[in-house]
Amino acid sequence: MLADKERNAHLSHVCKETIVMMKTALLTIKQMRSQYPDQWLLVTEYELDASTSLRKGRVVAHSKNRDEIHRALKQHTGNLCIHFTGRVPQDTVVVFPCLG
Amino acid sequence: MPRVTYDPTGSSIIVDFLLESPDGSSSLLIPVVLDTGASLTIVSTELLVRLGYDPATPLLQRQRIVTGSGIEYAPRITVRSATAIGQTVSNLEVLCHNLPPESGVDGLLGLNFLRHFKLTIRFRKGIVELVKER
Repeated sequence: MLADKERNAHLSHVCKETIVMMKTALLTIKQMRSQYPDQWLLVTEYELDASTSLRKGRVVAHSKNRDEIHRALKQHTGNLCIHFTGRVPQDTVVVFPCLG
Repeated sequence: MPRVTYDPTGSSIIVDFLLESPDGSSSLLIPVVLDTGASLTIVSTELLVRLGYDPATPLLQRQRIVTGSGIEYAPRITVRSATAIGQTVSNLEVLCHNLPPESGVDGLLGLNFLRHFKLTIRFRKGIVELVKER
Protein backbone atom coordinates (compact mmCIF):
# COMPACT_ATOMS: atom_id res chain seq x y z
CA MET A 1 0.00 0.00 0.00
CA LEU A 2 2.76 2.36 0.96
CA ALA A 3 4.61 1.44 -2.21
CA ASP A 4 1.54 2.28 -4.29
CA LYS A 5 1.17 5.62 -2.57
CA GLU A 6 4.77 6.46 -3.19
CA ARG A 7 4.48 5.44 -6.83
CA ASN A 8 1.34 7.47 -7.36
CA ALA A 9 2.81 10.50 -5.68
CA HIS A 10 5.31 10.70 -8.54
CA LEU A 11 8.17 10.69 -6.12
CA SER A 12 11.72 9.87 -6.95
CA HIS A 13 14.48 8.68 -4.70
CA VAL A 14 18.22 8.84 -4.79
CA CYS A 15 20.16 5.57 -4.93
CA LYS A 16 23.85 6.35 -4.82
CA GLU A 17 24.37 8.52 -7.91
CA THR A 18 21.27 7.30 -9.66
CA ILE A 19 17.93 9.04 -9.59
CA VAL A 20 15.24 6.41 -9.98
CA MET A 21 12.08 8.03 -11.27
CA MET A 22 8.81 6.63 -9.99
CA LYS A 23 6.56 8.24 -12.58
CA THR A 24 7.55 10.53 -15.40
CA ALA A 25 6.03 11.95 -18.53
CA LEU A 26 6.78 10.75 -22.02
CA LEU A 27 9.65 12.85 -23.34
CA THR A 28 11.01 13.39 -26.82
CA ILE A 29 14.68 12.74 -27.40
CA LYS A 30 15.25 16.52 -27.47
CA GLN A 31 13.54 16.93 -24.10
CA MET A 32 15.61 14.07 -22.63
CA ARG A 33 18.83 15.75 -23.71
CA SER A 34 17.67 19.07 -22.31
CA GLN A 35 16.43 17.73 -18.95
CA TYR A 36 19.21 15.18 -18.36
CA PRO A 37 22.37 16.53 -20.01
CA ASP A 38 25.49 14.34 -20.02
CA GLN A 39 23.75 11.41 -18.38
CA TRP A 40 22.94 7.78 -18.97
CA LEU A 41 19.20 7.14 -19.13
CA LEU A 42 17.05 4.06 -18.76
CA VAL A 43 13.95 4.51 -20.89
CA THR A 44 10.75 2.45 -21.09
CA GLU A 45 7.66 2.68 -23.34
CA TYR A 46 9.88 4.04 -26.07
CA GLU A 47 9.10 4.72 -29.70
CA LEU A 48 11.55 4.42 -32.57
CA ASP A 49 11.54 6.03 -35.98
CA ALA A 50 11.98 4.10 -39.24
CA SER A 51 15.75 4.24 -38.79
CA THR A 52 15.68 2.52 -35.38
CA SER A 53 16.53 5.78 -33.62
CA LEU A 54 14.93 6.66 -30.30
CA ARG A 55 12.10 9.22 -30.77
CA LYS A 56 10.44 9.39 -27.37
CA GLY A 57 9.99 7.41 -24.18
CA ARG A 58 9.61 7.44 -20.43
CA VAL A 59 12.81 7.99 -18.43
CA VAL A 60 12.73 5.69 -15.39
CA ALA A 61 16.32 6.20 -14.19
CA HIS A 62 19.15 8.59 -14.94
CA SER A 63 22.74 8.76 -13.79
CA LYS A 64 26.18 10.09 -14.61
CA ASN A 65 27.38 6.55 -13.94
CA ARG A 66 26.69 3.94 -16.63
CA ASP A 67 27.07 1.04 -14.21
CA GLU A 68 24.21 2.39 -12.11
CA ILE A 69 21.94 2.35 -15.15
CA HIS A 70 23.00 -1.21 -15.94
CA ARG A 71 22.06 -2.14 -12.37
CA ALA A 72 18.71 -0.31 -12.69
CA LEU A 73 17.91 -2.54 -15.67
CA LYS A 74 17.29 -5.39 -13.25
CA GLN A 75 14.30 -3.54 -11.79
CA HIS A 76 12.45 -3.48 -15.11
CA THR A 77 11.09 -5.94 -17.63
CA GLY A 78 9.94 -5.81 -21.23
CA ASN A 79 11.34 -3.58 -23.93
CA LEU A 80 13.96 -1.22 -22.54
CA CYS A 81 16.34 1.38 -23.85
CA ILE A 82 19.67 2.76 -22.66
CA HIS A 83 20.55 6.19 -23.95
CA PHE A 84 23.52 8.50 -23.32
CA THR A 85 22.79 12.22 -23.72
CA GLY A 86 26.41 13.34 -23.56
CA ARG A 87 29.31 13.07 -25.92
CA VAL A 88 32.91 11.97 -25.63
CA PRO A 89 34.96 15.02 -24.56
CA GLN A 90 37.00 16.59 -27.36
CA ASP A 91 40.24 15.95 -25.47
CA THR A 92 39.47 12.22 -25.12
CA VAL A 93 40.18 9.51 -27.66
CA VAL A 94 38.53 6.12 -27.15
CA VAL A 95 40.55 3.17 -28.41
CA PHE A 96 38.53 0.06 -29.11
CA PRO A 97 39.93 -3.46 -28.81
CA CYS A 98 41.54 -5.39 -31.65
CA LEU A 99 40.29 -8.87 -32.50
CA GLY A 100 43.11 -11.29 -32.92
CA MET B 1 15.78 5.21 -47.29
CA PRO B 2 16.98 4.20 -43.80
CA ARG B 3 19.31 6.90 -42.58
CA VAL B 4 20.43 8.45 -39.34
CA THR B 5 22.07 11.74 -38.61
CA TYR B 6 24.96 12.17 -36.21
CA ASP B 7 27.08 15.01 -34.93
CA PRO B 8 29.82 15.38 -37.59
CA THR B 9 31.97 17.30 -35.10
CA GLY B 10 31.95 14.36 -32.66
CA SER B 11 34.80 11.90 -32.37
CA SER B 12 32.75 8.87 -33.45
CA ILE B 13 29.49 7.83 -35.14
CA ILE B 14 26.99 6.61 -32.57
CA VAL B 15 23.75 4.86 -33.55
CA ASP B 16 20.98 3.01 -31.73
CA PHE B 17 21.13 -0.78 -31.87
CA LEU B 18 18.09 -2.96 -31.08
CA LEU B 19 18.73 -6.47 -29.77
CA GLU B 20 16.07 -9.13 -29.35
CA SER B 21 15.97 -11.66 -26.51
CA PRO B 22 16.42 -15.38 -27.31
CA ASP B 23 12.66 -16.05 -27.23
CA GLY B 24 11.71 -12.77 -28.91
CA SER B 25 9.64 -11.64 -25.94
CA SER B 26 11.70 -8.55 -25.11
CA SER B 27 14.29 -6.25 -26.58
CA LEU B 28 16.94 -3.76 -25.57
CA LEU B 29 17.98 -0.62 -27.43
CA ILE B 30 21.56 0.47 -26.76
CA PRO B 31 24.00 3.06 -28.14
CA VAL B 32 26.83 1.60 -30.20
CA VAL B 33 29.66 3.08 -32.19
CA LEU B 34 29.68 2.35 -35.91
CA ASP B 35 33.09 0.82 -36.65
CA THR B 36 33.98 -0.29 -40.15
CA GLY B 37 37.36 -1.40 -38.81
CA ALA B 38 35.85 -4.05 -36.56
CA SER B 39 35.21 -7.49 -38.02
CA LEU B 40 32.72 -8.43 -35.31
CA THR B 41 29.94 -6.65 -33.47
CA ILE B 42 30.56 -6.24 -29.73
CA VAL B 43 27.94 -5.87 -26.98
CA SER B 44 28.40 -5.44 -23.24
CA THR B 45 28.30 -8.82 -21.50
CA GLU B 46 25.93 -7.82 -18.72
CA LEU B 47 23.40 -6.42 -21.16
CA LEU B 48 23.35 -9.70 -23.07
CA VAL B 49 22.83 -11.55 -19.79
CA ARG B 50 19.99 -9.16 -18.95
CA LEU B 51 18.38 -10.02 -22.30
CA GLY B 52 18.50 -13.72 -21.44
CA TYR B 53 21.65 -14.89 -23.20
CA ASP B 54 24.25 -16.97 -21.40
CA PRO B 55 27.81 -15.93 -22.29
CA ALA B 56 29.15 -18.20 -19.53
CA THR B 57 28.21 -21.38 -21.41
CA PRO B 58 31.47 -23.32 -21.78
CA LEU B 59 30.50 -24.59 -25.24
CA LEU B 60 30.71 -21.12 -26.77
CA GLN B 61 33.53 -20.29 -29.13
CA ARG B 62 35.89 -17.67 -27.74
CA GLN B 63 37.55 -14.85 -29.57
CA ARG B 64 40.93 -13.38 -28.67
CA ILE B 65 40.77 -9.63 -27.99
CA VAL B 66 43.79 -7.41 -27.63
CA THR B 67 43.10 -4.51 -25.27
CA GLY B 68 45.27 -1.84 -23.71
CA SER B 69 45.59 -3.96 -20.60
CA GLY B 70 46.37 -7.29 -22.23
CA ILE B 71 44.78 -10.19 -24.06
CA GLU B 72 41.31 -11.49 -23.23
CA TYR B 73 39.20 -14.31 -24.60
CA ALA B 74 35.60 -13.21 -25.06
CA PRO B 75 32.68 -15.54 -25.81
CA ARG B 76 30.83 -15.28 -29.13
CA ILE B 77 27.08 -15.73 -28.97
CA THR B 78 24.36 -15.62 -31.60
CA VAL B 79 21.66 -12.99 -31.08
CA ARG B 80 18.18 -13.83 -32.39
CA SER B 81 17.94 -10.53 -34.30
CA ALA B 82 19.66 -7.18 -34.35
CA THR B 83 18.49 -3.94 -35.95
CA ALA B 84 20.29 -0.66 -36.65
CA ILE B 85 19.64 2.20 -39.06
CA GLY B 86 16.37 0.56 -40.07
CA GLN B 87 17.94 -2.73 -41.14
CA THR B 88 17.71 -6.11 -39.42
CA VAL B 89 20.04 -9.09 -39.38
CA SER B 90 18.81 -12.38 -37.93
CA ASN B 91 21.08 -14.72 -36.01
CA LEU B 92 23.88 -12.19 -35.69
CA GLU B 93 27.04 -13.34 -33.98
CA VAL B 94 28.23 -10.88 -31.35
CA LEU B 95 31.21 -10.75 -29.06
CA CYS B 96 30.50 -10.33 -25.34
CA HIS B 97 32.84 -7.65 -24.07
CA ASN B 98 32.47 -4.51 -21.95
CA LEU B 99 33.61 -1.21 -23.40
CA PRO B 100 34.68 1.61 -21.06
CA PRO B 101 31.91 3.96 -19.84
CA GLU B 102 33.91 6.92 -21.15
CA SER B 103 33.21 5.68 -24.68
CA GLY B 104 29.57 6.74 -24.31
CA VAL B 105 28.43 3.45 -25.85
CA ASP B 106 27.48 -0.07 -24.82
CA GLY B 107 28.84 -1.79 -27.89
CA LEU B 108 30.31 -1.63 -31.31
CA LEU B 109 28.56 -2.20 -34.65
CA GLY B 110 31.01 -4.15 -36.78
CA LEU B 111 31.39 -5.49 -40.28
CA ASN B 112 29.53 -8.74 -39.67
CA PHE B 113 26.37 -6.59 -39.44
CA LEU B 114 27.24 -3.85 -41.92
CA ARG B 115 28.40 -6.12 -44.74
CA HIS B 116 24.82 -7.25 -45.38
CA PHE B 117 24.04 -3.79 -46.77
CA LYS B 118 25.35 -0.88 -48.76
CA LEU B 119 26.75 1.64 -46.29
CA THR B 120 27.14 5.31 -47.16
CA ILE B 121 28.66 7.80 -44.73
CA ARG B 122 28.40 11.48 -45.62
CA PHE B 123 30.97 12.85 -43.22
CA ARG B 124 30.50 16.53 -43.94
CA LYS B 125 26.74 16.37 -43.40
CA GLY B 126 26.76 13.79 -40.63
CA ILE B 127 24.47 11.30 -42.37
CA VAL B 128 24.70 7.49 -42.42
CA GLU B 129 22.61 5.51 -44.91
CA LEU B 130 22.21 1.75 -44.87
CA VAL B 131 20.31 0.11 -47.71
CA LYS B 132 19.80 -3.39 -49.04
CA GLU B 133 21.69 -3.98 -52.25
CA ARG B 134 19.91 -5.66 -55.14
